[in-house]
Amino acid sequence: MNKLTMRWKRNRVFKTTITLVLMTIILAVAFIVGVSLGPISIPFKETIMIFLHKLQLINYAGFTDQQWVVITEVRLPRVLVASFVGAALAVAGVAMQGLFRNPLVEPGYIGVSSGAALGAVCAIFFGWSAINQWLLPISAFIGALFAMFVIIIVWKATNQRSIAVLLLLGIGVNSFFSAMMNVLVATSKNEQELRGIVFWLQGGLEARTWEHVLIISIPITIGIIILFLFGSQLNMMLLGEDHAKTSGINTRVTRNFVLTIAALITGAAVAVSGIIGFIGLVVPHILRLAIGPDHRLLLPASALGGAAFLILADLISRMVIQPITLQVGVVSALIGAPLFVFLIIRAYKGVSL
Amino acid sequence: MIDVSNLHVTLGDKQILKNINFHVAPGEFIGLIGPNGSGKTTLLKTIAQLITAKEGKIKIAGKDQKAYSHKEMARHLSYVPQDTHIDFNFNVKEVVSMGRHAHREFLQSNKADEEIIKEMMLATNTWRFRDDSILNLSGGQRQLVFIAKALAQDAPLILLDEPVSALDIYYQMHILKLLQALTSQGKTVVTVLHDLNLASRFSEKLLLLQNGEVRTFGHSNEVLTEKRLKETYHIDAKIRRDELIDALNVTPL
Repeated sequence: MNKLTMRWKRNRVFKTTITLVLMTIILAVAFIVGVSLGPISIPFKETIMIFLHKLQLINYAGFTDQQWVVITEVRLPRVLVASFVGAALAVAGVAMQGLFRNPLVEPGYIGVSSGAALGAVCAIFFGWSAINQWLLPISAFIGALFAMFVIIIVWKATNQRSIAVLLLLGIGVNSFFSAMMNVLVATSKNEQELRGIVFWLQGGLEARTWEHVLIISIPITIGIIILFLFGSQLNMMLLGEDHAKTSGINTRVTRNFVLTIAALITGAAVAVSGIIGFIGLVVPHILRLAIGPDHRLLLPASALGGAAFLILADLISRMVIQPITLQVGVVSALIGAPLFVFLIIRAYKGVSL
Repeated sequence: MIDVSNLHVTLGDKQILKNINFHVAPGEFIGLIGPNGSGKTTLLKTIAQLITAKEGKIKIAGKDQKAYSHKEMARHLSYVPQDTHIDFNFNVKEVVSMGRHAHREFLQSNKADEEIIKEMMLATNTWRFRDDSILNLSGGQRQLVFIAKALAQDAPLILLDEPVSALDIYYQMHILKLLQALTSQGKTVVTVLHDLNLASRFSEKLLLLQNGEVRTFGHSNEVLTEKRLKETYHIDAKIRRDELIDALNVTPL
């Protein structure tokens, strides 16, 4: 073993610094590329200058009005929404995988995403979203939390509190919520409402505005930071309930709290972008292969990685088959699904996930 | 160190433990023996508060176990489960370090932590593969790692469920002697042991369980008799004193 790999293995500060610096650079590049490229491409240098001007760090006037509008009014909010949603889904994925001790769990699996979606669809169906712009995300939060609570309560009522029971419950909750959404779509009273629901269900990041950024940035940022603090608890939960408890973790409180926060950030993400799958699965997987399962590093790395992944997936969705724009969820699945299959094959060949 | 009174435990509809009463003094080495399904693991888990008793009371260091917070409890007792299965790719030292959680304040790890981790890893002979992934170890090596983790926790009471079941004869001796040395430093050890010869050799007292009840609790001379082994394990066995190690030797016929 040479000196550098030794240092990487033994020195946690060294490993953390290298990883986070690298991930930050990747995110920054993805961010600039994501804002620059599109039907109207703007040179990277120009983009950076406009950023700095927007942040009032420098005074720069060498851009056209069109460039200014495209960047600050169209792409910046879109890319910011992509970053927050990607970070939230990846971090929620990591947290749930840690708690359920299964690297194949994702917010979608245990019914949280569809709970949030049902909440949002209710807001459109009953006309709440027309009353106040905050009612749709709030209703998505409540949907996600409701899904989480149903799962936790039913799980507690069963004698066998195993992870398998929890995941099976998630499958049940998922199908129930999808059925409820179908009922709402089928009984929708008028064309406009129906279009609203379908458009929302398709999800995606088109036409996201500063309003969307504002709505999700605060809950997602706070939620993610809180989850970062649970790194060592999550590590110990990975060794199993018995180990965690006898090492001094209040497993019940930790589980309920972490799941609530994960539900909250998933709800926020779903509220502005619909259900986008695979991010919560793929990003943590790849990072785990590179840096190992230590949550103290994996959580922040996944936040940065999830943000970069969704920005790039969104970029691909609007660039590859111009002028047609694919749904970002489609691109995410196109990249994620084969990778997922590959990971499962690896797992069954006896290589650890 | 442990006071168990009138303990009843049910899992589902099944009563596993019935009216258990016993007392363990600090510094004792207790071997927990009994046929399969007699309730050994359940008793250990109930003491570690992993299972809630239906009735009865367990005092740890003179205080009701329910009065402890999780962290306080972890500073008083450590536990090595029988199942050492793990799916995630931690390296060995990371796993052992997790034993120190109860001694750490928020976001802090100190030098004393590092010292005791190294000391216990050297004592269990796991320091030499500290950088290896826990997934690449054999069952026996993994068992050693989890023993090291429990010892690094540095609690006065150590509960172990079949700690030497996967170990070769060298490490069986090594670990049991290590635990014995710890009891002479004042730690209390309660361990499930299937091997009656090892149990009689290392334990100061044996607790024999049968069908969820304490059959006998006492010195190995009182517990290991041919008649009692016939009644509990349904075996015909000869019991002799092994002069070499000054312990009872059970030979099933």
